[in-house]
Amino acid sequence: MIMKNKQIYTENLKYSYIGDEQKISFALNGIDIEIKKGEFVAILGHNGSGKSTLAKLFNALYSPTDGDVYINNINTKEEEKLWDIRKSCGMVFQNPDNQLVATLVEEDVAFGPENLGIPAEEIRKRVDNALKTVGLKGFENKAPHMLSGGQKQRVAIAGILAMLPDIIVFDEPTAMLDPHGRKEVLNTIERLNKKQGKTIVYITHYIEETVHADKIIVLDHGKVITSGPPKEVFSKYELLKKAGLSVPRATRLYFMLKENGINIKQPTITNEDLVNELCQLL
Amino acid sequence: MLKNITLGQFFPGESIIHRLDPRTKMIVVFSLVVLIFIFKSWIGYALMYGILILVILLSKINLKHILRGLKPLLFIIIFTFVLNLFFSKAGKVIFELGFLKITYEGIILAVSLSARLIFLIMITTLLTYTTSPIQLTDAIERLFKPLNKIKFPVHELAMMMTIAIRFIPTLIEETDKIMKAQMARGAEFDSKNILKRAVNMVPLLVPLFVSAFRRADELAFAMEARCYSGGHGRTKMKILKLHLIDYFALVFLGVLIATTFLGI
Amino acid sequence: MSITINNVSLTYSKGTPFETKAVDNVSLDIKQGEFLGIIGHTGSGKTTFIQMIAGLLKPDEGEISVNDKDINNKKYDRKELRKSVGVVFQYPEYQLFEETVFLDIAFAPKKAGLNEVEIKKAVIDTCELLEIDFEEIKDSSPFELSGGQKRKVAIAGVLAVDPDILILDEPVAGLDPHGRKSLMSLITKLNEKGKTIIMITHSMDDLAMYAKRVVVMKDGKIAHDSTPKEIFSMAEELLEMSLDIPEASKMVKSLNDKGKDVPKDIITIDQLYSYLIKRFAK
Repeated sequence: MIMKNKQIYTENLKYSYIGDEQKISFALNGIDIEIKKGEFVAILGHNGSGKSTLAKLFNALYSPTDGDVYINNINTKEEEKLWDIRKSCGMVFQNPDNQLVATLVEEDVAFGPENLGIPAEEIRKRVDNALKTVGLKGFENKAPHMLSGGQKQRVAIAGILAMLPDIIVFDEPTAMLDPHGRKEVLNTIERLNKKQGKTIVYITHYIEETVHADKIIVLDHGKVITSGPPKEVFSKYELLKKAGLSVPRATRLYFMLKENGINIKQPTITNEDLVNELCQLL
Repeated sequence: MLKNITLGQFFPGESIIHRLDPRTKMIVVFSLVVLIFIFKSWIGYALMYGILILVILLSKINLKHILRGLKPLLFIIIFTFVLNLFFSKAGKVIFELGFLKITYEGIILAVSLSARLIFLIMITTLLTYTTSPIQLTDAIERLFKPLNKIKFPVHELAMMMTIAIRFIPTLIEETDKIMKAQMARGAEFDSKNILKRAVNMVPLLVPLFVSAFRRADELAFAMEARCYSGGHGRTKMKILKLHLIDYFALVFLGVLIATTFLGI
Repeated sequence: MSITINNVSLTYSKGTPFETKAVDNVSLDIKQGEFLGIIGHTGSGKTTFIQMIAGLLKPDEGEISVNDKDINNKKYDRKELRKSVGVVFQYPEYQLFEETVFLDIAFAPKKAGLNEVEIKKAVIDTCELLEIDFEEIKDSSPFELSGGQKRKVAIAGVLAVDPDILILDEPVAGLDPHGRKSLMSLITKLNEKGKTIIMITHSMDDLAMYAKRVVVMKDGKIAHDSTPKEIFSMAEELLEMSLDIPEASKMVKSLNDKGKDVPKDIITIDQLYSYLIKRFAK
């Protein structure tokens, strides 16, 4: 069944590979996911839960072993539509260095549109806009190796933006960055979602980065074990622990205080929430 | 630190030479080098060196830097000079010391060969000083485009060169990191024994190679995700265009070549 | 084994337009058994500094002494230094190179001059310490292991010579919460056994929980040197230096900004919890 407002959805998606001792291992073992246009969806899982594999299935870098993935109602198995899928579903990877291919920032951002055969003048416009959006106006002629991790990632994001996608998948984009770089990237992503309406799929194991998502999907051993808005997901403390994940500290403190009889009205997931609740009681 | 090394050492600038199309520069440099190896008269050499001095002045690059380009090859220049000076067969002997003979022809040969060598080194150094690596690869890609007709992978080679240039500083940094990590475990990279030194390189080379392959794999995914599929159907944001100064330089070159062939 | 650093400086790219003073007249005394955290913005000189302590870089000025012996003296035995000071660099799994896990872990002991029996014992003991199944993976290629296992093997390679001093540069970078907890618990165990721990990290929560002393570096100099409680109570100053603060400190700062008067030296969630329970009880 094809639904119009589902921008991404999967049906019993499976991905297997030949692992140790020639045994078949399932990275993903029957995933059903729905993501609506404009949503900010976080996919949480410990290392090895299958989340990176899922990312590569979204933009057809991998093909499903079984089941289907639909991006804008196109099945990713359709080889002739590969470009359409990758044009509309861009991807930013974990290692900032291993995405940048050119010797100058502006040339790297132009790489995507150049591959699409866009005319030179139009590329120029897109590059300038993309760099402005990620806050790197003025960095056009810098060499990638002279940039900080956060800046490199923003160049990578600009490179995707220049292809004018509706969806951007982020595969652990902050894992190799320092706190400053992490903030830069998270702020940029939030802007892309809130101000430009891009659908964001954000894959991570850092729970604190998911508190502002519209929906969180939790993976464990290749299966979805729970999904829903952050407040709902973080209330399932024990389930998350079993999946090798923690909850935001604001949530942990909420539970600790609640157990001790302190009557905090609303469950809290961000520091601001908790501080506001505490202020009412202190 | 090591981050600041650029391949061939490019000095950014706005001089006329910098602004010339890289294709023009490559064609001119190639032609001039061929010419100086053809010339036999002193006038020819004087003309070439005159052009060289003119280009140096126009490029606004400090002579000190250009002479520095000669340093690594100084040994070869001196060797060539000495070899031809003392070991030329033909000619009238002017001076003798044991089995070393200096002939008049020997002197001329030594001087002319050295002069050609020095010219070659200086003009190509000037090329890399005034042209960025990416401009050079773009120029090569454009100039060799006709080879596409015989299925020669021009674009792919240019892409490989660009990526290699892009990653050199990154790989240098990584080499340093790996070296320090292995040194901390007791590895020694400064053994006097050549054989030992080779074996000692294994803890450095293996991780570097593994890392390089991993990078290539990740980069390939990233390129595919941005719809890369080879040179077919690709456009470029920056298209090389010839300007007035390029036409002027090429005409000048044409005149030079014509006069040479008329003169010889 | 004590370390004394006296007025040490190092400049990169001297005489070129890129000249930078990475470490500027730094002095520090570290006693055996200390757990010292080093924090500072990117480019503050932290990595250069620890490389000098480990004898991997020579200072332009000043002396570094381990047990009152100048390590840069021509007569100093480098091999002794390698046995006493172990360095775990960032993403240590990238230093793996041998054909088997056994050989890779045995590299440092071999270079230190241990005989075959001693080497085997060292490798087995270190594997036990790191909870690596020796029998199962001793003959495997290190490149076939999972990410987490690779890191363990790499760290084992450093610990195999049983150094008294362990220097770590962002040891938990890239690890998921489970991996982090595991590694920090190992580092704490090593410190309890008497090893000196010098750790560069951006993870302020880890320092708040485990470190006993924190040194803040800024522009190549030491800006502060004190206990975690004292350092993290300087929230504004740290934030100004683009440094992060522990989650608990963030909450304390917000509460204080709202006039709730919470002690600034509360730096962990557990401490905040205990304080709030006591306060609510009144």
